Amino acid sequence: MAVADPHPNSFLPLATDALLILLALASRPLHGYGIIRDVEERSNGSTVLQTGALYRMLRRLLRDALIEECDPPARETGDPRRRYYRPTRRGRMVLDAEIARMSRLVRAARETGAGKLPRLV
Amino acid sequence: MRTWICRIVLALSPGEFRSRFHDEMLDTARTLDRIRGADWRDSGRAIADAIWTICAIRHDLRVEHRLRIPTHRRQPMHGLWQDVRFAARGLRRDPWFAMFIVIALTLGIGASAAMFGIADRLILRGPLHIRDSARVVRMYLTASPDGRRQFTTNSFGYVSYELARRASAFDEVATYAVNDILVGDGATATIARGGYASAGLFPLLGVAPALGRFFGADEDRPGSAEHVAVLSDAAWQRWFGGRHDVIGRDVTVGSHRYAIVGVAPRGFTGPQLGAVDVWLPMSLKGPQTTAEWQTSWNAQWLRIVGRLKPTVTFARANDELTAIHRANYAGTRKPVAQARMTVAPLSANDYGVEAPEVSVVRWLSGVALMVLAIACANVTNLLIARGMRRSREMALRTALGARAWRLVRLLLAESLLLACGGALGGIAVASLLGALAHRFIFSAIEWGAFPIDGRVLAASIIFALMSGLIVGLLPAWRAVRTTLAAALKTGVREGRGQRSTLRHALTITQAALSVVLLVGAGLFLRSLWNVRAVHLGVDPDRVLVADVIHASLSLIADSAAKEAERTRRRDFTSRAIEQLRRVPGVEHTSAAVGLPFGNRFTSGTRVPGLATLPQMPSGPPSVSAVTSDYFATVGTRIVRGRAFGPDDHAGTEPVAIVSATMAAMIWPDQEAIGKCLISGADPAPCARIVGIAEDTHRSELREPPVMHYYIPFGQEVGFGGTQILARTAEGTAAATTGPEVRRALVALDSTIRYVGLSTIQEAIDPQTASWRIGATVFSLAGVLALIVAAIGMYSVMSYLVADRTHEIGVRLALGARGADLARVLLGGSALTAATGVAIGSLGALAVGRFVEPLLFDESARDPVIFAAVAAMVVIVALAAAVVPTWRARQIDPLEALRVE
Repeated sequence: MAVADPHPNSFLPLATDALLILLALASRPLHGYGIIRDVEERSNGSTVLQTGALYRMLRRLLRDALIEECDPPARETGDPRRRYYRPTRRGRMVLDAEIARMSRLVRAARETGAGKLPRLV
Repeated sequence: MRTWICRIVLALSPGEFRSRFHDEMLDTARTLDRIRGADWRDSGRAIADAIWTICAIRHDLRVEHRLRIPTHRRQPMHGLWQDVRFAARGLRRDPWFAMFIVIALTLGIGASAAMFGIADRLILRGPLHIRDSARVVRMYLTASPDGRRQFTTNSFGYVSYELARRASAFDEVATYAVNDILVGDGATATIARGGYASAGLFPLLGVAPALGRFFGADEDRPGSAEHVAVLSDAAWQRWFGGRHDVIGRDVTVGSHRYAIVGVAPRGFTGPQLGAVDVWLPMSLKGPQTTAEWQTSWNAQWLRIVGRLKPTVTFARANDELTAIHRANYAGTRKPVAQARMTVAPLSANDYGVEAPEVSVVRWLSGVALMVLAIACANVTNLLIARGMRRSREMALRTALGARAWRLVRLLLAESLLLACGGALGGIAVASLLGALAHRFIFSAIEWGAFPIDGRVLAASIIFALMSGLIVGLLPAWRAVRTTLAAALKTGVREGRGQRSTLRHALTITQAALSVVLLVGAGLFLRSLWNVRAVHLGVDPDRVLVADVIHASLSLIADSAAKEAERTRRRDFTSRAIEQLRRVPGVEHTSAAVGLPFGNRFTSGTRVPGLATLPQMPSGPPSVSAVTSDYFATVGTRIVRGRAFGPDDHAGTEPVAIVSATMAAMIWPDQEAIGKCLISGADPAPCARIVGIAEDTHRSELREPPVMHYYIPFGQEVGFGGTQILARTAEGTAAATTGPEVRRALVALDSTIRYVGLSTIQEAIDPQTASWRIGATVFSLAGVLALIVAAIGMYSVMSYLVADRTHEIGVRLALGARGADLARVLLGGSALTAATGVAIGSLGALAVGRFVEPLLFDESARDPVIFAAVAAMVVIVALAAAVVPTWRARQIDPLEALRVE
């Protein structure tokens, strides 16, 4: 069934959890626990992804074909229950689009001086 | 915990999600549980995440459905959902009714779930992190000395451990000892619990370290053990802030520095339930007991545990251990040579039997279930009342073609919905009750995480479903049974004419169960009262006991310097006694070796002219060495003769003071004062008896009378361990004087490493725990039950009056007076209560036989308690009937008759 590929921008803005998961998977394939750990490390422990939230989001990302299942990396063999995920081409495009959108936002914010100084009024 | 929550999430999730992520999600949750454990904050987050996820996934699916499959698909459970929504709407119209039911179920389910959580740890599961704990046993030795009480112990020497390792019944055998240890240096030093374990203990239990490693056999080799330590998770957090670079750092225990090699997983306490802060190699503890610790049969300081081979029975292990013990015992004590070795599960106490706390917990579980039963009886009653009000609606539905099962489902949906509310509230109540119980009742046990874990959660849900079904089925059955014609015919006043026997029976049940609980509360309160009233021979809450800890003498190599230090410490004791007397709030001070409720010293006592001393079940006389002001300090009366004076000390004439029991046993019909007593091994001099003191307790509240005597401080030979005592003035709290005492002692000697402070009361408290627990919980449950039952009776009476408005109206119109009406209604209520009291009393008498061993000097048939409870229940029943009766008297006959 040929369906027109939706434009990456139509997935924006990404939910925070979705963004964190895509970021975690951007460099290497990971399984569920690996993603939780990566997110935690990336945020210095300030963001802890809960199990339920993770799998609900994985389901949505799989549904939207932003990520896909893949073989485990060669050195991490073992438990067959562990499934590994990586971003699809579309997933990477969406991630890039989201990052670009956020940088534009940050740039706009910088121009107003927001976030630089403590504001008194 | 996360794993359990995950299971629940999966069970409640749509099939599509479940089948796709089941294995994977559980694997992740398991990994998290294994690596991180869970404290209450984690658990809270996980529960919140679970609730959110369940809702969010359904929402996702709904959105997808709407977008992709616009046609409405009939789901098989569609009707059920409709029923639930209908029930919810119905309950919303009757909020007071719904709220009362939810509260009643909340209390019942909460109490049951909290008790389940406690019983789960104490009885069902035992200590955390033990693989297949049913096969792990602790070893005991039971000896029967001639003429004395048979005794059982689980303290062994290293020799017994070596022998036990030969037994073929076990896969592995390990040993451990848990003691108070001094951790840290100088002012930051604290007393902690140290677990000395053989290296084999950890693999035997099947525990994996959270960080680093446990110590190995080469680090626990007798004679050449390494100074290594494994921290508990709690100690790691407390002392090192949970830092990951803790491995390789040092911790000071006693006078040595230990390298930290690992951290135990959260909640790990070894084979026992009390917290352990640091695990150290067992071989380092041995030399502290005696130099020949590897071969001595006289040093008992270790507990031995083993993992039974899968096919081996307890009996076979007992026989094999006994045979090995008897064949190899090389000590001098004949009873021990003939002793029998046994094994018992880890839940057994130090004497190899079920601990009193455990039996109390069994009873309390029963109590919690009774509260739940009362709540259910009450809710059933209310639902029946509601059902009767709705019988016309049901009849109408039947007339319109609804099947019976459809009506049952509708009513069950309502009761299950209420039970769900009860479960939610119950979980909150259980976590509150659990936290309180952990903190105040079972504070000696390391509970680790949040009181609610996956199993307690599952238990609450099961309790809720069960009570939902129980309270729903009866009303539903009644509703369905009502014949169509009868229901439609009855007109406005539904259910008229049926004096609902079922509802009365339920009310009577509640009253009866309340009586059982209140009698239990009474019995335990009286026990507690009796315990408090026991004459102890000392004033336990007014005596502060200071244990002064110096650095170990064994660190001083030079023998002359060692002797000088010994003299200096002896001087310190007398200076400390002087100094403490000046502390505000202190009346008397003294020093003693051997105190009531913790005395283990015997000293080969003989009496000239007697070949042997009279035998007593409590064994030979115990002895303590005390300074002159001791009797005034602890509050032991001198019955005859004199107390020790300032001139009785080391080097003066040997004198002694004997206890009243000892005087009566050894010198019946004679004056003991002036007689001679020989204490210690030959050639010991004759000590002249100068006084007789009242009896005190040697170690337990409940013990047979003991023979005991005192000698002047300094004259003791062969036993030691000085404790400094201070008697606080009347009305001065020991807690406020304690810090002053500590400051005064530390100011006196800068080499003191630590001052341990406690009162004698604190040594007694653990022994009274079971009565305190029983009294608290039974009282709470009893009062709760009475309140719920009172509301139940009120609702029955109110309903009765509302139901009989017409009849009452007719009676009033025919000339009945208000007083007659009150007599009938109040009388009915009293009769119901009296029936409940009668049945409940019989029940309490029947159950009482089993509770009796748990009581203290109290008959389970105490008529005072039964009478008081009966009066209380009847009065409450009458009070519950007052308002409905008053309402009945206000009925206007004209109004009542016009209703039709």
